[in-house]
Amino acid sequence: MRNGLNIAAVSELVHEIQASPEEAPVRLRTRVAPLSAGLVQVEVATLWGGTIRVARDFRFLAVSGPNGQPSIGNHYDHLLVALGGCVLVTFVQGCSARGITIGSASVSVAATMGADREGRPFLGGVAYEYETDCDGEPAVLLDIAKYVACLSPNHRAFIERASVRVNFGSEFGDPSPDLVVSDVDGADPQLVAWTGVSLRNARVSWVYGTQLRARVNSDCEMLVDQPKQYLGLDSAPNPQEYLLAAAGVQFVYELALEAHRHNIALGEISIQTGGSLDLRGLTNVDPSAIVRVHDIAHTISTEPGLPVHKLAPLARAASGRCLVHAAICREQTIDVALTARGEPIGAFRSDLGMLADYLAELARRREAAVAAAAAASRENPQ
Amino acid sequence: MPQQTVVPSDRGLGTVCVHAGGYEDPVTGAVAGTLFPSTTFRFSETSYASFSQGITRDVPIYTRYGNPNQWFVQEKIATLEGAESACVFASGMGAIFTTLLALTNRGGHVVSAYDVYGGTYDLLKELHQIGRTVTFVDATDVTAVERAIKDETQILFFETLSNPLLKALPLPQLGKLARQHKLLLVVDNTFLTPIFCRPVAHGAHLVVHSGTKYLNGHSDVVSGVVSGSRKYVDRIWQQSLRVGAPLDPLACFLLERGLKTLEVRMRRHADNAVRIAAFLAEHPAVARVHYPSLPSYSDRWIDDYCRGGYGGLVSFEVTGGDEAALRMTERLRLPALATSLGGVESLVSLPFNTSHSALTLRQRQSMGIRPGLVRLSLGIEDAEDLMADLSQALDTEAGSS
Repeated sequence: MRNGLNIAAVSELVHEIQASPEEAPVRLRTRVAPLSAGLVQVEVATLWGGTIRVARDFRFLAVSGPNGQPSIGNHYDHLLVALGGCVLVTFVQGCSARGITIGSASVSVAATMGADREGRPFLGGVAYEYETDCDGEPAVLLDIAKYVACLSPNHRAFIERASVRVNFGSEFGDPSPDLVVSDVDGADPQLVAWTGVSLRNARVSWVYGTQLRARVNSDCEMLVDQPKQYLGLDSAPNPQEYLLAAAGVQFVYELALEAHRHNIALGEISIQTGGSLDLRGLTNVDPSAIVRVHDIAHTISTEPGLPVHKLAPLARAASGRCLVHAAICREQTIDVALTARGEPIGAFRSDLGMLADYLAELARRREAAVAAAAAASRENPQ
Repeated sequence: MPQQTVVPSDRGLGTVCVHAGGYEDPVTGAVAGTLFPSTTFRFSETSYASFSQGITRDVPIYTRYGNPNQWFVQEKIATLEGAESACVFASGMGAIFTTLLALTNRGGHVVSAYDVYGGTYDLLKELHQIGRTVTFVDATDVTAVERAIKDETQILFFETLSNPLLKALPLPQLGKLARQHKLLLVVDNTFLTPIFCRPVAHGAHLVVHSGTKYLNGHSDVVSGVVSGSRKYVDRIWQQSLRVGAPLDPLACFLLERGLKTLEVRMRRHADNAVRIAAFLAEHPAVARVHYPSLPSYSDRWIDDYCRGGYGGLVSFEVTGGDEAALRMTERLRLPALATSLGGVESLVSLPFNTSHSALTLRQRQSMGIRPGLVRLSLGIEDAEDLMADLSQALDTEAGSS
């Protein structure tokens, strides 16, 4: 055990997905349903991991809309916690794998978020800074931070271009013909509900193993953890579930606004948001596997059921105003800085160029390791 | 341990029983096993490295983590089950609880059988206290099992043969269902033992046993065991450290010694059961007999996965009801009127005043437990002696009715 992580179990997980690729896909889901007084209930649903199911028993309130409430987060907050939580736990795992003992570690995440004058989602100035007290050499820590920027699924979801699907049927059923591919640049400026941007931030601190504690808006605390099947203690939603929650919370808010503008009664509405991980990607077992959270899809349910021809235009317009969709669909750059034992030790900008360079470096290291192992095998045949 | 004997699981079961997991002491060459009662072991570079890497299961550190006597018997049972790994516990209930706790999460759901063993039923009924829920169904009805599956279902938990009516599980179909729905199939194979059924080969992910019964076979050790893939058994072992119900070294030693004769004992148990079941089926004081060798037995799919015998438990209904059954059991001289099963000595008990006494008559009847039901665990005595004893006990009842 190092830093509360079972190093052997990490290694066994990697070996397992190498030997049994069917264990690599993970499907995560959240459900969001509006409550009264501008709040929504978020429920984390059962995760399908490889050949098993992992029950999740987490429910929390979220503020519906851009203006937060004391001690309750909104989609902006969940989005920052999703990014900070994912990079911090990946950083801790990277340190643990390299034999570094951590005294403390945290990451401060900031971004300017909101809507521009034309109502388009605005996301800029995304940055995070690690602060750690540990026994790692600065160069090694900086290398781990770069590794994280390339292999953290949520970080990759920010910096790569992807899409969000919206459908009106069963998520696990046949692909629905009424699929809407999200395009955040396609919002109709005439339907602007609100504009304005603000600098938002979150601080995520490492507690033990995969357990993290996040603080947003100074008075709202969120816990982050992993299921016990993935080396956690099962105490809270994981960073990917926070990302999906953020997407669902904002989408249901925008959808309700859109329906209100058109005098359409949505009735009882809930949105299930699913997303996938490929463990081969985030563990770098298979360089061709997808690293980012992908295949993100909302499934809308209304009661009484609203015809798809009425719901689809609302969903298309609402989707186009979602900042969380923008984070997923647009290429972002992220500024990363690292401070160890109170001293700044490096900074870099994470974008697609940096990603390509570092992945090439990882490939070189892998080839060198394979060559070294082959040479050792020739020198010491079994 | 390097001194342990590894026997391929495709060897004859008698060979596996005697040799698998066996430890030959490197100093004395003792062939009959060695007892390691120590609770703790000197630290070494290996133990420090195992702490650092988190690989403490197979390293001698502390007996709650693991002990050589646990490893010997675990190797033997895993080989018998055709499984990668096994973990022993202080009781069968300890094995079941730890398995369910390890492989489900808070909010998880289990599907089980309404006629599962009473101790298991009581445990399952209380799982809500730790955030798990359970749905009970007829385990022989695969459609009912599938209907009970929810989004949060994680485990199907059933017994290969039910207690006391010996209803057989549609094991291969449930194995397919589990995989189709990404669930784990855990089966209690106490009644059949790996001599007659290896559930892992027929779709089960994990197999649990009350080792107290046939595996030990001498009614002198309380124990439990779970076998399956290394991945899941490791998780269960890790959970067992928190639960704290390891099997102590002496009990492991005795269990391993008992297992050496499992194959020959099970043949005798099953032969006796076949003969006694046929005898009972012809007796005028017996209304019905439950045993898979009989033509009246309905769950014929048992032959898809069960080879060579059906175990040593026979249930039968005495025509005069519970009072007549009680009188009959009190006239028996060989079988002891006592709970448990699977020992070399025959045991007899009545569900109405023991295992199912907490249920109302109506509840018992809805489960198929009719008045007069007797559960007879056949030991390895001579069948003729057992028949003579049963005959004198039943003849009196037949004469009085």
